[in-house]
Amino acid sequence: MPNDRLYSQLTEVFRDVFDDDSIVLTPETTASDIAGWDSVAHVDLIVSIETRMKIKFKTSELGSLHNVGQLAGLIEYKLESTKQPA
Amino acid sequence: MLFNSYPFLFCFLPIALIGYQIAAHFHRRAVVIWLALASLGFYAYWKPEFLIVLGASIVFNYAMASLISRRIPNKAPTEWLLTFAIAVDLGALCFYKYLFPTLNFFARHATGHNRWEGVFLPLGISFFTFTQIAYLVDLQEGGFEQHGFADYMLFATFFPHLIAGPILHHAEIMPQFQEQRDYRLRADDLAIGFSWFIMGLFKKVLLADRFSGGADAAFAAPHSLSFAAAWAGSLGYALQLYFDFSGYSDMALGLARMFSIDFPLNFSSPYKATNVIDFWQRWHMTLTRYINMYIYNPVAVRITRWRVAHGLKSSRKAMATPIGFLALIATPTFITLFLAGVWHGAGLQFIIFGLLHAVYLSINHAWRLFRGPKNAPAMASGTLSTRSPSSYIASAGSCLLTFAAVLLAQVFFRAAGVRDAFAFLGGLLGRHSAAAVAVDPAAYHPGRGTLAMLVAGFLIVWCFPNTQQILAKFKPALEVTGADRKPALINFQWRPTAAWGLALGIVLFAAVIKMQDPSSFLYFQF
Repeated sequence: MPNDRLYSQLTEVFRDVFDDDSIVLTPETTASDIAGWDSVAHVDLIVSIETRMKIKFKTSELGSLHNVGQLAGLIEYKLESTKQPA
Repeated sequence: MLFNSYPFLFCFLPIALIGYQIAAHFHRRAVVIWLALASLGFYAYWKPEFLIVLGASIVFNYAMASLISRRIPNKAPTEWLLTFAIAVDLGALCFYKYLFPTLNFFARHATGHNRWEGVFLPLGISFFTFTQIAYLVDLQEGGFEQHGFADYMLFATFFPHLIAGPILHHAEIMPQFQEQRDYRLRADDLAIGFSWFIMGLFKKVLLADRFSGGADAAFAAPHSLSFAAAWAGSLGYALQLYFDFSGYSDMALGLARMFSIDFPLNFSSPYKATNVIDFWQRWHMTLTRYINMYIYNPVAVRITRWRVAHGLKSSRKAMATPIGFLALIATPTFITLFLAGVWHGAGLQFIIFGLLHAVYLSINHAWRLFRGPKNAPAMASGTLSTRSPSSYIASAGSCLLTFAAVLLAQVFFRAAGVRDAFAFLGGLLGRHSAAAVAVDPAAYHPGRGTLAMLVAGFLIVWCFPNTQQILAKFKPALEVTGADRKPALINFQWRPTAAWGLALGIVLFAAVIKMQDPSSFLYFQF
């Protein structure tokens, strides 16, 4: 999988935020699969990802994510667009 | 025009469907224009002059969207345009909704009576204002290309959602209007949509409207309520509100489905919720989603980023400290719920309603925090159907406690003012003397029929599947919630069979007969 590294980074962030080392992420993982993933934890998660990956999410992006696959896709897109010279 | 009225059922809806079918033979654009025009007609039927308000709002917001989207490729600043547009939108909303009630509030304190007549609230103004603000915010952030005017107008006005939601998000609806497909009516969607509509009509006409008399009488005389009358009144109101609004939402989703359009769900058996966080994931779900996206998230993310930038933590451990809890949980929750309360109406009682829920949610989050994340339930879990008897009793207890908290807030939500609300609470605690109740000719005295209706109502609420569960085999809405995947205590499924057709036909007949005096929907006032 091309985004293996991204998924392992994301898994680390998730395990840290939810304090649960048994979390294994797949693109289909949703909020209802992870204990404690509510609106409060979501904000912690988003800002933790921002700090770790050095990216920034927009308001409209935060609510439009339905599963981890979409989150990973968005992060990849952001990492790609920051790599390209302006 | 009301969904539960003869002109809608026997005139507007058939014309809208036939016109749609004819337009579908030509082009997608013809379908879009027909539905938009029909929706404007639907709106104008109530008060033609308010078509100007709706029309002005759409033209203004579309013009602002055009200005913003033209500046994005040139990297010209657009924040001020967005701020201006939101200020105008909220200004119009405040003018119609809050100006005169607020002026009268001060006048009453100064002179003892209202001084202003006030203005009529254009139906659905907060709903069409919200959907359009979200469109502008997302457009300004550069999430998508602006749509054509006809598509935009249909998105804003499509009659099933125009007056009381669900609050649509452009990202889920626009692709459905733009899809290159055969737009002609489909027999399966018509059958599912119409069945869903009838289930909603049943909730509205045969359930909600049966509870309205008792609830109205109880809240009209809150100072002379006996213990039994106060409980019958508040429980009746809880059922009226739920059946009224969820019935409306069922009708809205069913109507959209007749045109092969899927809406987001608005209710998922909220009174089965086992905590208040869960309740808000299941009650007026599109409003929760909206305020989460456009109020809670921006506020909470800003606070969290600020803390991280200043070397402070945002983890669960940090949240468990007093300052961390205040900053990361309580502040965004109170701001969000305060605004949600204000949105429901001008009056101190709505602010108390919002703040009560903010307190509930904060306590709920604190509970999760201190019990540890592994014990916390996943977001969408929590129904009555768990396995062992002890966990079953625990779930039932949590459900009752949640419902009691919701009921308390609903007293403020329904009462004419704060004083009335406290008087009502006095009734619930049995503090009004029998003598006071006896001398008031307006006092509410529930009969045996009321008790039977309440039992029937709660049996449906707590034991029956909800409409999307009944229709689950036919993908009724855009998404299925986690809670809806868990079966209800009593289960049954809709099927396209003669028996179901006959049963729903009888329900429709009964509803149409009872509909002679159409009552408005509670959520129209918002």
